[in-house]
Amino acid sequence: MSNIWTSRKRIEAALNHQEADRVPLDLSITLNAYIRLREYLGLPAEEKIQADRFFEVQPSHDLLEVLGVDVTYVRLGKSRNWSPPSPLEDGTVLDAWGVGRKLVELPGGSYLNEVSYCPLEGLDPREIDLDSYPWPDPHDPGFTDGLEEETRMLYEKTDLALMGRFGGPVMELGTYLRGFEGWLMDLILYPDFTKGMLNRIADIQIALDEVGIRAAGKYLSIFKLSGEDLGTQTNTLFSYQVWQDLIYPILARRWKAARKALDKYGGSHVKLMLHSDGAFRPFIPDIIAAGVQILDPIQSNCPGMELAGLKKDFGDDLVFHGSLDTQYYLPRGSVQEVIVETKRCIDELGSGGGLILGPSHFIQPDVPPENIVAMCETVREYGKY
Amino acid sequence: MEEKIQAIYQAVIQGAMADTSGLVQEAIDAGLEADLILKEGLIAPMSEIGQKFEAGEVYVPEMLISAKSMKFGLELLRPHLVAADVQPLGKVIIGTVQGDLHDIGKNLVGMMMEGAGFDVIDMGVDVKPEEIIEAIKEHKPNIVAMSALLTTTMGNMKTAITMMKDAGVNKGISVMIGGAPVTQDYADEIGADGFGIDASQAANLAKKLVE
Repeated sequence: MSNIWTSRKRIEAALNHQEADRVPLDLSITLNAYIRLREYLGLPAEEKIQADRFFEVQPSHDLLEVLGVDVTYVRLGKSRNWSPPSPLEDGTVLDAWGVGRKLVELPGGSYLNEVSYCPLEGLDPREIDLDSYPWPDPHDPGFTDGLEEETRMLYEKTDLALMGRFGGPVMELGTYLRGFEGWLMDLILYPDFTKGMLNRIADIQIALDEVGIRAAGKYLSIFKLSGEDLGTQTNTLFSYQVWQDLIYPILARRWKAARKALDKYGGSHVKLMLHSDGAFRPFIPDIIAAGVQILDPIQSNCPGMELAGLKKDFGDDLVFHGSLDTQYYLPRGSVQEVIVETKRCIDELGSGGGLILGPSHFIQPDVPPENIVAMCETVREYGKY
Repeated sequence: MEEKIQAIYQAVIQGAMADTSGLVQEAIDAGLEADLILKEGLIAPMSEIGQKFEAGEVYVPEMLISAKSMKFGLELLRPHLVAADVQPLGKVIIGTVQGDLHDIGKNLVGMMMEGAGFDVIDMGVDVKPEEIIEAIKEHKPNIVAMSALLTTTMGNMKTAITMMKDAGVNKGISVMIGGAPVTQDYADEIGADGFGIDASQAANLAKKLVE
């Protein structure tokens, strides 16, 4: 292999469980933290910054280069045939699924877009007609407008590894439609309804994955299977039985469909990444069996998610993406503490490749730029193989 | 245990939802004391569910369904408890702090506290410190319980504690905090009286705080 390690080669080595020149780095960040970070790094202010509904931004390449970040993201375009209806009285705006969100101000003057309207909440599942629900159209031409060209440009003009994420979550959309409490109770009280609803959602997410993969899959290094939060801070969100009988078959169908589409459209080299917060170790063997190759974001302070244990038991099958704690270290730790914790992540997960280090949640506005820089510098220096 | 009480107990454990109120009605009709129905029929099974949750034998969905079933029974029983002058274990004001709309954890804690015998006043989400202070003046609680999921909003717990002290309404009140990023260290740092890692342990802690 060439002696010059580009970002893309570095990521691909890690994905193939090989050591590159150093541990590769990823960074996901929200708007205000991004603006502050640019300022701190002495980079010019940007006039127009695109943020998604979680206020996550795609950092510009100048910032990625300064920090040594190795990944950039590719997403679907905006729908052409659907536009949001007028906001509700409290400022809630409905999305294409009929789910409402509104802006909530956080301390320090930044915002989050939080779910504020769940269209099927409180309804008796026996009276919900899933056939007549106004599901979004995954084949809207706006989603892939220019996607192939933009992705090819990124592939040809940069050395960055590209991560695609096209369809959205399955389970989480269920919680948005039914409300979190309602959805959790449905798992026990109305499993057939839940299966029906989640399969509907999965069909649409699979179709979205496929249209994106068809256009851009071959240029990617990583395909992100959206996020399915399977754990709480202390345990799995539901029992293994619920997982096995209800959730896993539907999610596995979605993951395998993504694999199939990648293989079909020139992306057989692309690795599948699953995002799940929380403690969910008992589900990991099944997740691997369904073809997932990368796990994100690894909340190592949750029981069962301790880094050394995950590496020992699943390190041959899984690449780890993330791992640096965002509940204490990044927002509230000192620079020195961030350095020590970053070194620990590298020590425990980095041997033999298989680690792409980054924050374990997209960086919120309370994270000081010093801590982000300390994380990146530590990866660049201490992370050398 | 009296058969009718046993039936209520099982209904709560199994999460029989609205059926629980029918069984409570039967127990009342049979002349059983409201206090006994509460303690043996509703509180005892919630304590068992809490222990099973802590042991990893039941999960959030089962706990939610049991808690909702308990609430069906409790609502029916409430006027009878008032009539019999049965006092709650204490009064709790609970809410998710300002800037934070996440309420599943807060709701579970509230229900587990209710299931432990507390009178729980749920202030909902995005609760401003001023609103907590007003609620303290109005309800005179034993415990104020605050929740936050976000690291960006957990600082509002500290703000509320400071404002409670400044307003002079903190005397005799214990403050409990919880939520994914919250730890015992953080509770100590901001001067909270307690932290529960999950809903069951929060309810147990509340019991200790009013002893």
